Amino acid sequence: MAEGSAPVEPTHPRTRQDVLYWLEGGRIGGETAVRHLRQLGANQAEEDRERSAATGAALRRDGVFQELDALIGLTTVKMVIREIEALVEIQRRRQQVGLKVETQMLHMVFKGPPGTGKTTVARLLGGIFRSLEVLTKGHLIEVERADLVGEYIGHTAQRTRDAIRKALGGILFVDEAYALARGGPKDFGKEAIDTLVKAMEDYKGQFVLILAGYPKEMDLFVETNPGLRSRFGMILDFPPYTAQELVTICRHMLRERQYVLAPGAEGELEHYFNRIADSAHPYAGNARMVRNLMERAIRRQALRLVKRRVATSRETLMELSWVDFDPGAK
Amino acid sequence: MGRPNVGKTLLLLNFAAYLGVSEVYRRRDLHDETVMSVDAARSELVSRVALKHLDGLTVRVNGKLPRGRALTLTDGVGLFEGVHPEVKVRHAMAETLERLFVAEMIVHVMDSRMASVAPMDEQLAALGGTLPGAWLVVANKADLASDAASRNLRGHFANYPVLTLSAVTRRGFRRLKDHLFEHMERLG
Ligand SMILES: Nc1nc2c(ncn2[C@@H]2O[C@H](COP(=O)(O)OP(=O)(O)OP(=O)(O)O)[C@@H](O)[C@H]2O)c(=O)[nH]1
Ligand SMILES: [Mg+2]
Repeated sequence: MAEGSAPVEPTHPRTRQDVLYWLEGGRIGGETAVRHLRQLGANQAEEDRERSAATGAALRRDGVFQELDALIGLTTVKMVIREIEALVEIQRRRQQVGLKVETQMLHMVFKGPPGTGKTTVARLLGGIFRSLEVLTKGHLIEVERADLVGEYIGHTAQRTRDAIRKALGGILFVDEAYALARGGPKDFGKEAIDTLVKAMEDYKGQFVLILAGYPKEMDLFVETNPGLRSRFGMILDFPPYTAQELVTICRHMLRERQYVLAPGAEGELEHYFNRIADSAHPYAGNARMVRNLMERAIRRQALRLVKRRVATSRETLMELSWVDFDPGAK
Repeated sequence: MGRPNVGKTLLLLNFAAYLGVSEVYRRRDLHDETVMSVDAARSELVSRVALKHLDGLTVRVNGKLPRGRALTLTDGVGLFEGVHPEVKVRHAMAETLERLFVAEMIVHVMDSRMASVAPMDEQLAALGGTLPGAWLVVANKADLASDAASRNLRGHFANYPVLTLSAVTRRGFRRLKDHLFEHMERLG
């Protein structure tokens, strides 16, 4: 990274989760973490009021970047987005003093298996581009082959143009984009690709196109469509999450819902995630699976506790044990 | 809960023994929880060197408790000031801090001998006032400190109950137990 962009200590956590995450990430020291936790508790009401009253791009941008930082893993993705932010800012300053500016190619390819955060990042990017005033609205329109490809000649171009029109001022996110090339040269998918390429010229700077899909398929797709290759400045990799990242994701999801993992449960979970990674399970490294597991565990804990006769303490109500998860069990 | 090496683990274990408990649960690394005797835990996990272990230690006390309740005592990892170089430690610290928001009572352990109150302890005590659980300050290692030292601590943390005790000589355990049980009575 360039000089001067060394990470500075973050200062305004919005949630307890931010604080613990910064602490774990080594971005703040122990006593600072405790101070933030205290201030959050004491100022919660006040901050809520301020936040809802305050407007302006700066605050909004802070918010989106914090959300981005709060995503687990995705180190390279985060770095590239910081670079884009810096680039946009510098281009603006160059323009102010009359220097040459590059027109930016913000269209991107997101490569990665499902459940690795591609849509989440795309949505956040919308907010970031809006706060940087690169896009006027920053909304996200999510489509896939079935939404773009029609049944007769001309139908596809029309449907694709409709999608683009909806995305103007924001981001058009084409999931499993390689499927557009699936049917070979005579397929209507080709028409969709051509329409997209043309729109990138016609509506330059008015929308950002993100093509997403499995890494191998996307490589092939971009390679075999020269019109695309030259127009995508950025190709971002979304690797499957590691077992440890999945555990962290799980803890954070639980934290939001005011649950915690019981001693021991965390280790079992990590063990389980490692096992399915080794067996090349289709869900390996997939954060969506974590959500499902967790939701089921919450239901099973409820069932387990409701049967008990003794009083349930606050701590018991919050704690999920491994028996609640155990994905092997029925 | 408290800074490294203040005697959290020894206090937990000796107090557990005082309550008649002989077994503790130890989460050795991420993968397993094992049961071990209080004596074994003491010889393995209490050390003169700060942070020999990151293991979670849990003591479960049943029977002879107010209102037939169960009691779970949990050891926290030493809370370091500044950014600790090891991610494992930072992770354990975050976990310990997270538990503060869940616990029904938090025992903030300090070393009575400290010359001045550390920033971490100041911050922790301030946090105490914003948490749902009750806060208790324990001035440990009283066997090594002067009476004046513990009086100073008592004055400094005037908003909280402060118990002066020694995890080694077990002086003050009676008061700790009374305090705990009274709190359980109040909780109902
Ligand atoms: N004299 C005396 N020594 C004590 C007392 N309590 C603990 N110690 C000693 O202090 C050292 C640290 O005790 P631990 O119980 O391991 O401290 P800890 O707070 O759990 O430390 P970490 O887990 O590393 O943060 C050990 O050598 C203990 O024997 C006490 O009341 N009096
Ligand atoms: Mg200890």
